[in-house]
Amino acid sequence: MKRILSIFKRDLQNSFRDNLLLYMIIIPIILTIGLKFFIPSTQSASSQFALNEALGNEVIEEFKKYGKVEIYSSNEEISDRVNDIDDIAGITKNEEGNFELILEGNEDYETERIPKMIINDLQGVYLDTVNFEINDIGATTPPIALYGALSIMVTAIMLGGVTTGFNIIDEKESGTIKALSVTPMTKFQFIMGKSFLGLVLPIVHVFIIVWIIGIFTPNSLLLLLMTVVSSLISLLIGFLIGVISNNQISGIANMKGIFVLLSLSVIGAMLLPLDKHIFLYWSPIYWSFMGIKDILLNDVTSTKLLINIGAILALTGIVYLSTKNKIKQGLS
Amino acid sequence: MLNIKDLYYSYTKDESYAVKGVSFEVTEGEIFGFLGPNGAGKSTTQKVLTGLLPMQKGKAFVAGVDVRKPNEKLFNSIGVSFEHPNIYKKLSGYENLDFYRKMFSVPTEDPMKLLRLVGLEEAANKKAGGYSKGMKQRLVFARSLINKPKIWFLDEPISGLDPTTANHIKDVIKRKKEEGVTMFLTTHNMYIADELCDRVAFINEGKIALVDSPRNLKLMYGEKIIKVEYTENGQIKKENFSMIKDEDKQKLNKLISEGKIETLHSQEATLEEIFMKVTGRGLK
Ligand SMILES: Nc1ncnc2c1ncn2[C@@H]1O[C@H](COP(=O)(O)OP(=O)(O)OP(=O)(O)O)[C@@H](O)[C@H]1O
Ligand SMILES: [Mg+2]
Repeated sequence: MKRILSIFKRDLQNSFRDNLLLYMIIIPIILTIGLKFFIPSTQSASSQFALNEALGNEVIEEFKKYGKVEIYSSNEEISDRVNDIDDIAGITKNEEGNFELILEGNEDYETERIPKMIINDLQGVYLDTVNFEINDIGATTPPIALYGALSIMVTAIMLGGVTTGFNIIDEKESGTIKALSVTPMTKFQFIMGKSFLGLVLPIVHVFIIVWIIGIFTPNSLLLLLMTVVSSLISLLIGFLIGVISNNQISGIANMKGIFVLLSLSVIGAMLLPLDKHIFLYWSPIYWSFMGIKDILLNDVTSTKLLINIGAILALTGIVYLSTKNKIKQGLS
Repeated sequence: MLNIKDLYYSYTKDESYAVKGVSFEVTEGEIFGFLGPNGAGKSTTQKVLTGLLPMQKGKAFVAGVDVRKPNEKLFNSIGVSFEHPNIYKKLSGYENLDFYRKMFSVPTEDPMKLLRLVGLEEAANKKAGGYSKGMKQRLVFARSLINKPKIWFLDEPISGLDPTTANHIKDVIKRKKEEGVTMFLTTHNMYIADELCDRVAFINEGKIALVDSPRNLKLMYGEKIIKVEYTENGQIKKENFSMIKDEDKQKLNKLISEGKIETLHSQEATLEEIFMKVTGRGLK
């Protein structure tokens, strides 16, 4: 254990003194601070809808999921309500039976967008981007906060493994791995020590992100669990980058693959309708994304949790089995 | 301490061996020199003995441990100074040693003491990446002593150092010998081998040509030359006499009995000359 911790400490020192690695450590935090400026305050983000009772119960129930609903019996009453000082979107149906939005014109973007999305959803042109849930106090989570935070979190998790990978490259490039080979340190201890930073960094990042954004109240234990499980694939990829790259430059080149994987999974999970998500099931990052999303929204059921963790572990296992030998070889 | 029998090593895992059937023994407290030109297989042999390269063929015991099954005891008892300095560039000299010592499960030296020993105490807190080549080499040298090794592997410990530093490092090596450390010293520098080693092995093209003490080698293979300055008819004359030719010996005897000699130097053959004689090639 002493050796594992020493390796971790050395990697930490090295990472904070290496420009590239330092950059990878602080970028998720900078992005989160940037994101914070785009998040409307919780108050105005809590949507209100003025609905015509003629829309029917089903529609009214749907809107209730996303915010506060007021029911009116005529379009005039809705217009009056919309003209009041606060932001509220009026929704009714015209003669042809199409949805119609009644707005003052000076509402913020969200007030206009959210009802549109709910309507799209109701009409079957479903975009997953409004698939957020309502937390206990009835305020909605602004999608930009949710998806922004989620994207940064999975990126941070992937960067954790990359940091491990680059520390391995550093050992190889400087030949210090040979110096370690003539000590009693075992290969197992080396792998554990190198993994440590790649596990710790994402945890630190994920919790800092939750803290900076300030509107999530996730179950910390579940969030920790999901982060650690998600980091396994990232570590595996990190080790792979470490063994196949002989220097930082080729490391950076090999890192690109990860980011293709990352972007595909994240953008797919945000934009594809739920029934198309099946095309993303191969990606462990997709499952991390969905798993953390449930946790941030306090929408975890044991079934969902098991499916998400199971999928990540299974996919990680497959990648492990197919790369095990290559990694072993590369480290000797 | 070292017991090597019929050691072979091929990088390509075929019949083209970099080390072909090397056998030797090193006893406790001895400095054993491995002398040979570039590419002779010196570093390869050392790498196999320190577990950096796998054992392919032959037998090797280091500190009583079979190198085929290297264990904690083996690595705790050896120190390895590498040919090419391999250090953490982003860590200071002190941090390099302090990290390395944590890898051992035996009592270790104080990093600062070792840095002082190799004259790096002033650079102790500077990043090792900024060290000069010689400083890096001294850091690697110091690092190899951190676990108080019983067997010390030194791959070209002096090459590339300025004469003062080189002398200093040689002194450290001599002091460690007095402390009873066994050493396996690899070099292509015959002066180092001559000065430091109890026995040297001449290695060429992966094979050991012969093993003996530098003194015996010189006695056996070296042609001793006596350089003499003497006065004849009031003039100073210089002449070299071989100690093998009878007529030279008689002439020298005569000069001595006549009391005409001003100065007299014996000049030994160098290990390099002997190496050339034995292997048919030079050390460079
Ligand atoms: N990693 C390697 N892969 C393939 N061949 C190698 C490798 N390292 C060394 N060799 C070959 O093995 C032979 C012995 O090399 P070695 O490094 O043991 O020589 P050396 O005696 O230490 O020489 P030097 O004085 O240059 O350090 C050389 O022919 C060399 O080309
Ligand atoms: Mg060599």
